[in-house]
Amino acid sequence: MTANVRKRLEQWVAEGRRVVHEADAKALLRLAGVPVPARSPRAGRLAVKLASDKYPHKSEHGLVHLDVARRDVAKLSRQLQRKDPDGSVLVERMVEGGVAEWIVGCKRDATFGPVVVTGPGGVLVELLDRAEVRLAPTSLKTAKAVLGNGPGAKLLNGARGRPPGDRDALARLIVAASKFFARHQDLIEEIDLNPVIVLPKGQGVVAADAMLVLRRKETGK
Amino acid sequence: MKRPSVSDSLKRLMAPHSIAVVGASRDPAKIGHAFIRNPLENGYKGRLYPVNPGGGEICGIPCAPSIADIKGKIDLTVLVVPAERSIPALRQCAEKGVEAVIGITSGFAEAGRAGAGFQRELGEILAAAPFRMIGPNSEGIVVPKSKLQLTFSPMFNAMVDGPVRIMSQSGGMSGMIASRLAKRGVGIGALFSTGNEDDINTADLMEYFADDPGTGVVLAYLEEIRDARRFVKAARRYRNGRAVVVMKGGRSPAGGRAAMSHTGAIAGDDRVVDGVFRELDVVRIRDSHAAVDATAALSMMKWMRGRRVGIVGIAGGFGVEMTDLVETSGLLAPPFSDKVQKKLRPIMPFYGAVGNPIDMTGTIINQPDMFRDVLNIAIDSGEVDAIVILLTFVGEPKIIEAVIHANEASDLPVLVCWTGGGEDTSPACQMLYGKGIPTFDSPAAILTGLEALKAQAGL
Repeated sequence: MTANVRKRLEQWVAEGRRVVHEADAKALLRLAGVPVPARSPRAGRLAVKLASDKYPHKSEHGLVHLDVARRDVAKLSRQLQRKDPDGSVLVERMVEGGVAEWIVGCKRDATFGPVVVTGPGGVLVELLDRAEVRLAPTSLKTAKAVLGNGPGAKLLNGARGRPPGDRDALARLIVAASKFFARHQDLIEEIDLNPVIVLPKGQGVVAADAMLVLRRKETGK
Repeated sequence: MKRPSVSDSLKRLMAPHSIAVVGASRDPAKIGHAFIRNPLENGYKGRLYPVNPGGGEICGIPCAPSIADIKGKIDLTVLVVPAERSIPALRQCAEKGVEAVIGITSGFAEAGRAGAGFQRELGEILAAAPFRMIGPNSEGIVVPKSKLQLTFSPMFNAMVDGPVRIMSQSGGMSGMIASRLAKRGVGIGALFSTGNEDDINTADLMEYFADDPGTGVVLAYLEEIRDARRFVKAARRYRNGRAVVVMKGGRSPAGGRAAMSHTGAIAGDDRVVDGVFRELDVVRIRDSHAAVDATAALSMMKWMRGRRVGIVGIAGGFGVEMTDLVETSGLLAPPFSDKVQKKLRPIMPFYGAVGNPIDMTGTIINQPDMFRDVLNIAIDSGEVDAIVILLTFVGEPKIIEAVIHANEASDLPVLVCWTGGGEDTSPACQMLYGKGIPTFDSPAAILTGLEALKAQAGL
């Protein structure tokens, strides 16, 4: 499996791909143990997006549609596809019932090498600006400690009457993303999982959005 | 040529039997003179060889014209000559079989293009040298146990042996910190001004001292973390029972690339350093003054297990200030339980306070026994993880003895605030310093110490 993942990454780097859009990024990250929403589910409400390397920040370009009714999917898909014929329309199950949104990311630091970044996500990334950094790959113990005393710990405990979030599942996702990044750091420059939706305790976490930034061909292997 | 191991070289460097100073000067105002005078004045007992082609004597020792002209073995060579003359001197050191070199000489990598040629030659020599090198661009080293004050500054004269090890990419910074720690009785077993770190770097030193049972606290001033992976590995070895304090200046050279992702944008150099240090329980310090207070607190080698601070004082105002500072920095100053307060009440004046802070008021000057009893009740309560004693300027010997006894009997950190001055020459402070108890000159300085203890414990 790792060999397949690597092969795909190598091919993308060789093609000169820089930003890997959400659909491809999620397909790869799922293999690395990062939970992602079910694709084209038979039931439930839907999220419909256009995943394109040209638009790393999709919602700014009106490429994200949430809570879409099943009968509207086909028409919406055609509209989105017209905006970028090279993009892929992604139809996913809407993630509902989250108690907190989180960011989990990875990057190479000039001094310390691969690091994993984690903190309150979604709009809180900029508003709170309180992400914590740890060396990648990180251990489950370290990931749990960051979530336990780091910024936003109160959010995960269930703020304002919400149930406590699935902290253990979030810690496992942090470990999985950090291992994946550290293993392929010669090919990947950055990973962004934002937001990761934290569901109530026992129900897990889901990366609602994902992006990979690849290293340039000459700096890649 | 196989290069000697860092640890063998450091052992030799820290206890040399013979030292040659290339560029020794007859002029007492010159740096090249200080490298003979400072070791002599600080009691160095090994052989000193001034090297100066002009001949003559320095501090009564005849000069040798060059390294090659010295008959005996040379353990350590100090280079004080300009960059262009240091290159042939280094080649002579290699031929002579010198075991370690300290390069004081400037004008290499730090001089940019002007030093590039010398830097290249230095690199070639080091790649095959039979010695290890500190520097270049170093201010020297100090090892009190070996009576080795091998720097050009008198700031290092007062150092005494102890658990602290200082390594600094800035010589001036280390001088300020060392002299202030020494004035407060904090023992420093070794100090390295590491300069450009072209050969031996901070990670090497941290690794070496991790194996040294005498090392309790490492204080490093770093502008650039070289060999970060080994730095991380070495730092991990100080967890549980020792401490690493790092003052990190400047920004890393390769930072500032425009980030495409959120992650890249929010995780700047400074935040990465913060996070990695927190992961390693490395105490991060941002100013030189705080580095002194943090290191002083850690040098007592007693560690916090929780965040609760007990405050015992004799002046209300400082108690209020201390409590405010503690409670606004992630530490706690919870009131003592009823059980403890009931023990305190009968022995304290009725107008004193028994909650937390405990305020014994100025009457204490007439009742040193009360001070001792109250202090012991607070320490033995089991309700706090550190004790702050606000002494202000009350130095009655019986009170100081009570502080010393309480500190020795307890495994809690005990931090003493002496507002008469942190580096005071009063007999009271000297009594404390003699027992390894530094003083802090304000509640803010105490807080720096407490925050360092908190970070060391990963709290």
